Amino acid sequence: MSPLRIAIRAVIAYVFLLALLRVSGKRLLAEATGMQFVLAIVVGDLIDDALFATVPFGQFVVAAGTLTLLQLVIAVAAFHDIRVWRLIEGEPPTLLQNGMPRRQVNRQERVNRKELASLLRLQGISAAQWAEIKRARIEEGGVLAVIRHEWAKPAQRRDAEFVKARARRRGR
Amino acid sequence: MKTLLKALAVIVLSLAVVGGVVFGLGDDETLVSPPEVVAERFIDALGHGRPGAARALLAESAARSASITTVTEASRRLRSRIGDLEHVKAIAQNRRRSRATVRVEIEGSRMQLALALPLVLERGEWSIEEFGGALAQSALPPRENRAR
Repeated sequence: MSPLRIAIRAVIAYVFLLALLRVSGKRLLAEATGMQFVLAIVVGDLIDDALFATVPFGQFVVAAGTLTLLQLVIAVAAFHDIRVWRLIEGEPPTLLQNGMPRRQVNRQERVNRKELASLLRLQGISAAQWAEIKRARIEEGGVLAVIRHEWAKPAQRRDAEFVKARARRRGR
Repeated sequence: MKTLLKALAVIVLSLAVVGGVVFGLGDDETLVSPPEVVAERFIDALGHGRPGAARALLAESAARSASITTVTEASRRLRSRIGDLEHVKAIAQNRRRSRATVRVEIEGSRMQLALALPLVLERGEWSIEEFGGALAQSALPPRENRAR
């Protein structure tokens, strides 16, 4: 197969996908959710077929365009209606609550205690600090989000101001 | 909603460009599958027992005369001859404006075949014009007799 023709197809596929992604928003193929990750893989496979002319270019445009449109429709619907969002993404599972691992949820998500400890260590939280965690849950992108109890959060400016004000009151 | 319309516009515009290149400028190889690729896909579908996919690659006249039963039978005959399909290689031989003849070398677990498939450019796509006669040919001797 002529390299020139492959190059022409590559340029056209690139321009088409660039235009599609520019109008669809940056999150479309960001691998942010499981479905977006699958879409990225499928579109990657479609490009392969288009570059080597296994399918006519028109079919590639129709297939990649339809998938992208479908993902956009779902994203728009999920943005406007939280029920659609829940249906598509599901509730993020809470693996740990008030310092205690939630066994049932962890079993469903196939995260054992060691893996949980490892995920928390990556957030800079050792096993001795689990009591400081109010909630640790897996967000859509597969990233563990940790929310600490108020009392466990690092001191902030307002805390310093509170201490100063109290010292002033005591000094009077 | 605006985003959806913009994405739809990109798709429609791209299809219009592809259509313009294929039907307007008469492209028969860059944005459409070249005849050798179509021939390879056809034999691949037949060799792997997918008559529906093979029939979809037939030209209008060939599809009219070959029912799905005919293609299924052709697929069965080919597989009984070559065994498991291992490799297909197609090379365009004669190529005129809207017609091409492709030599397809088929390597199976039992034997090798070489066929000449005629293709025709119809509605911006290459398709198989005739296959019954081609499948009856056997240009290469059985594998065990071939000097390697």
